[in-house]
Amino acid sequence: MAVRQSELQGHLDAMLLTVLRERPLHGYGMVEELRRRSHGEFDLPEGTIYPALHRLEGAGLLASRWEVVDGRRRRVYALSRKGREAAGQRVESWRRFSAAIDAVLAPAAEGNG
Amino acid sequence: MSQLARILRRSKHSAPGCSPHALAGSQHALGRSPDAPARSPHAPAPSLHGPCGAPAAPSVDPQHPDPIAAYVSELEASLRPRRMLGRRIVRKRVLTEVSSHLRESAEEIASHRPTTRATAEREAVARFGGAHELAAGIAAARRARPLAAQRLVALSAAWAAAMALGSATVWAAVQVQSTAHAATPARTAPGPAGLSPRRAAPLIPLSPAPGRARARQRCDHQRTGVELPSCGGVRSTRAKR
Repeated sequence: MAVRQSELQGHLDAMLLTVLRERPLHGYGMVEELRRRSHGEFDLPEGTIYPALHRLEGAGLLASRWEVVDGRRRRVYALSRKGREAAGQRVESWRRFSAAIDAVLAPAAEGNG
Repeated sequence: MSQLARILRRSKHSAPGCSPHALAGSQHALGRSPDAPARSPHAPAPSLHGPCGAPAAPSVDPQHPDPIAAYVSELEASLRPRRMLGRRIVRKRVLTEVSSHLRESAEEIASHRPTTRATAEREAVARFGGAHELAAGIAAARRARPLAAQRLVALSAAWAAAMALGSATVWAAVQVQSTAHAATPARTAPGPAGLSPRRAAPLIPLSPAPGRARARQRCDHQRTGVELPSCGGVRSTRAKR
């Protein structure tokens, strides 16, 4: 079952920051990377990422620049130092949160099984 | 007629009061039911109708020869009236970025499946999401952005006000001083016998006095220890007596 967009909304910023930890990417590249990492589960309307990218850039977590690839202009985004720190914090926060949710849901899952 | 064309035609008959903006954040914007299987990255565009029967996807004319250009035009029209910092620059940037994204997406679709360019572009547009939702999202992100910029503007305004106030105060002080000096020109003149204007001021009459009375008046001030040449005449007069 695919993950609902409403469930992803609160985590989109963290996912974008995490995807950019490895290397700078343009918008389409990020969408592809999200799709690849989630094995097709995260299938957002692709335009959804742009407001998030603008917001993260405004917060100083990302920096962007134009690049020309095959004659086409791309806006490439990279993490700033602040963004790298924020990405680490959000991953850590998510791990704690997901462990807590797992702990709550695990008994119910066992009961069903 | 393609599935997308049917969807887009249906969108024209959407229920009243169901704004496409209301679809932002809805899982229907994904174009599938919650229980539907995950879509392959290169699968055809799915059903796109929202909870109100309105399109979550852009309302691009299915017969348009260049769906991406039509979408970009729609996005531009939607961005144009929105208030945000650096509106023109942001608009140009977003349109270039979105257009580039859609072209790349369409090329990717066309490279995985035999299809026409127009169909691939329509599918890329359908995956991208509504232009109105995107414009609203960008505007909201740009409005939230200028916290630092707002602080900068506020600081600049405060600095300019302080500078203006300081300049006005200095100017007023200079004006008052120059007016006072203009009213007492003799006091500012160089004093006799090398006295500073301040010490010599009492020695110099402000209004002319005739003859001896004037000279006597001056010589009364000899107690100050200042030797005035004009007093010689008075002494000689007294000696004669």
